[in-house]
Amino acid sequence: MSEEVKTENFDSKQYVTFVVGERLYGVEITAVREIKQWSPTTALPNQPVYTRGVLNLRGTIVPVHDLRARFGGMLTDATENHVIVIASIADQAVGILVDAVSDILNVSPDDTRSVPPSAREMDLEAISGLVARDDQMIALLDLTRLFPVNTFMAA
Amino acid sequence: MMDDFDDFQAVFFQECEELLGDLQDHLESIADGDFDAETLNAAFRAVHSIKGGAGAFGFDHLVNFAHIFETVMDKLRSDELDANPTVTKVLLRSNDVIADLVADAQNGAPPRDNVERVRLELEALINPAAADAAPVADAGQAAASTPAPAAPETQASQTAPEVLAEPEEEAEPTRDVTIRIAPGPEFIHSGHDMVKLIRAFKSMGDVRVETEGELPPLSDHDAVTTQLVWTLTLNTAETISEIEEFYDFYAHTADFTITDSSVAEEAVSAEAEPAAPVQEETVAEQAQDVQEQAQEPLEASSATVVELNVSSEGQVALDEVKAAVAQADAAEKAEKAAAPKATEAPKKAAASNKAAKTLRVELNRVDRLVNMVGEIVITQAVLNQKISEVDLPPNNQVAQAIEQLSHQTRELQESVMAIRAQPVKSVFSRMPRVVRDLADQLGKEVTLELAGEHTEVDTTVIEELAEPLTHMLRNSMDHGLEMPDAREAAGKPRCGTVWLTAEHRGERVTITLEDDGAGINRDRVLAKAIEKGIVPEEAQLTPEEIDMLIFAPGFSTAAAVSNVSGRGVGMDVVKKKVQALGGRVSLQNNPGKGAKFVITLPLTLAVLDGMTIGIGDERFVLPLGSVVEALKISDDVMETLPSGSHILRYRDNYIPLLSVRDLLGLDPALERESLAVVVETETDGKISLLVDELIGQRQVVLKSLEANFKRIEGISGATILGDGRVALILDVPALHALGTGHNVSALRKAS
Repeated sequence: MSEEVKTENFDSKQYVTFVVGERLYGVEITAVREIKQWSPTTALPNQPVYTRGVLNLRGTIVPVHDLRARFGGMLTDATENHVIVIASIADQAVGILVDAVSDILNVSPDDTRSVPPSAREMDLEAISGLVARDDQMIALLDLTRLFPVNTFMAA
Repeated sequence: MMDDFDDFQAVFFQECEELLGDLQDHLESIADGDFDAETLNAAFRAVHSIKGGAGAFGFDHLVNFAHIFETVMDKLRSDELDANPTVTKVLLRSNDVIADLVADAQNGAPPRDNVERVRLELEALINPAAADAAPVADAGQAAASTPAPAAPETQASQTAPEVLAEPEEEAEPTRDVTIRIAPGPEFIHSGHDMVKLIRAFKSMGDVRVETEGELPPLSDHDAVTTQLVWTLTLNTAETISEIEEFYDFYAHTADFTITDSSVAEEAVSAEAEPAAPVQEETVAEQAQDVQEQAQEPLEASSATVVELNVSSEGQVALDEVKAAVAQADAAEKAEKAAAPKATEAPKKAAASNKAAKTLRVELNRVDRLVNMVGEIVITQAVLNQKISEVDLPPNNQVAQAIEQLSHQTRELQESVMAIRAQPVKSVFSRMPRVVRDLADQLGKEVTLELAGEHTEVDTTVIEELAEPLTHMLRNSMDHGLEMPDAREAAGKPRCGTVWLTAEHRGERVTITLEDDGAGINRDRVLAKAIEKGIVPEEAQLTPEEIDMLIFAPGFSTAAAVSNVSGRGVGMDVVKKKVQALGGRVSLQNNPGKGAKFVITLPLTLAVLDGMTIGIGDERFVLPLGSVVEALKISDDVMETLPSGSHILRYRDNYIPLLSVRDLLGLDPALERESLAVVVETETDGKISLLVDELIGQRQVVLKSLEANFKRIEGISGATILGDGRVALILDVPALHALGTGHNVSALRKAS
């Protein structure tokens, strides 16, 4: 597969896609550090519902957010089959709880469609583009806006 | 090559930092009248070394200032100047300026305004005494310290420079001084550059350069060993000793020979009777040959002077000269070995002493070590846990080995932390300057008393401490201490005192800043807080609560925003900073008599002795130092206040009883908690926390939540437990603040 990748258009970017429920999401591969099996997290007090807590990633403390809950869905009933995508957002490591990792995709800018302006604010804010593949729509995530990095102190 | 240059420069600045530290210490002892000749020498050497290095890198402002500074120090050394308070005050100021100049040189910033003012002050110290006596004294000094044999010798071996010094200016007569530089193999290796050196010499006067020796064909050229011998003719007013000191920095890598034309002339005419100049030249030339053959960087010492003067009385055989040189050489070596005060030896001796005692290590190497030890502590916790899960007979060897391992780990960790520990002196020593600057600015008289400078704290804590401390100090001087007249009227000495002390208290370090000023004016503070809308008008606050208002964000009592304190940042910033370090600030106000700020800080930010507690399925860690005791709760010790909040009867007292569950929004308890842990908040006395179980005490490695997330109220950090899971470390005072809805506490929470 990697050979195929190299011959692709220079402008295209690679995305890791993953499944949450029936939906497909994509994150730029350069932002993904690793993918790891779900393990119970330590809950953090007084945080948004979608923040599942923190886990120990080889000695550093990494927060884990539930992508389903982040888009207004129920909290994921996480099992060993669930996956945490560890991504970098502005030098910080963040875990994203998803159902499963799907594929790695090459997406050229021409294939990317913008989110229709009629969409809900939450979608407009966090989705940088839409890609259609094999009759399925993949929402490309803008992680910086989805999980804003907090450099200031919590109130 | 550029990188190398930068490296050398970095080393220079590093050395400057140490030298400046030493200089400050010495100058302060001099100001206190507690000094001897060695202190003066040491201070002189520090300024001198800075000047030498600065010259090499072409930091002209720094060189110029250091030079005048050094001249004054030299006068002190030679008792021409008395270390009276006026003088020492200027010296301390000069110390500040030279520190500024070093910083400016490092940052490439232009010199500040105060440089010129202080430079004039220094010159004023030199001139009144020197006005008429100086030239004579200088000449005398020069003659005394000039290596006499070197004079004719150099003069002889080169194209003759104009011999006579023609006084150009009345004040500072200049004359030609020739300096012959034969770079040794070390010269290039030490990072020196002849061009830079020559340029540096230009700061003292016009320079003419000639070279002797031949360059080998380019094919044989070795860039590192330089065959050329350089002769500089410097038209300057500087004394020989000053010039010698100037190149002292290079002296171990090149052979320097200096000739003062005016003195040479005198010397020659003085010695003309016994020896014809021509003969002397021959002898000297031969002597030089020997010297060059020997390839020994021979520094002319007094021994050489005597020997050669004797030998120059007539035609002397080469052998004799050789003997003389050898003798002088031996004498010099002996001198170096026996009396390290000679020439540049003290510097070397000092340097080698230092090398034996300390080792400069990059901080990130130590950090790696600290992290590694942290991991070991965690792994060891895992091991402990696993072993406890295995059914082993009591007193088995595995358990013993693990026990031993845990002792060793702790010791290892303490040793590693000790590497990072640094005396708070490095921060405290910046404070006298803040006080001096500010006292001038405010027109107040202030003495700063430091104590416990040798208290050691983790490097990271120290680095972060400078800013809040400076701010508090400024605050005390600006708002606390009164003007001299007002103090006198209040029956206090005109000169106010600020005490800054550090001491160890168990696992924490306490830093106290106390002043004997007017204290905090509670009426004014309260009025201000109401005006700023920080507290409601009808608020009923205790005096202590009013005092704490100064830590509220957006609070500043300064009517006008001065550049001293009250620049929009207030004590709330101090508090935030200290809290970020895991510390607390508390305040004792004694209106009319003064105020006392107490900062307590953890000794290290890396490891903590903790008590693990269980609440539901979650594990939390309480800092062991704050845990007083744990109690089983029965109905008769727990009371409910009308507002619904709970209190606990604890030894004839009622203390707040808080549910960690509620405060942190955890899942509700299946059954009521049966345990209360009594903890000390440092700022608000004891409180008690409801927990499910006590799991045990252990050392935990602090991990930051902020690194990948953010600060969470009530939580000071996280750690990794034996099973690899994350446990949160509870921030007791913040929890207390969360638990009390009182407005002032709510403020504290916000800060």
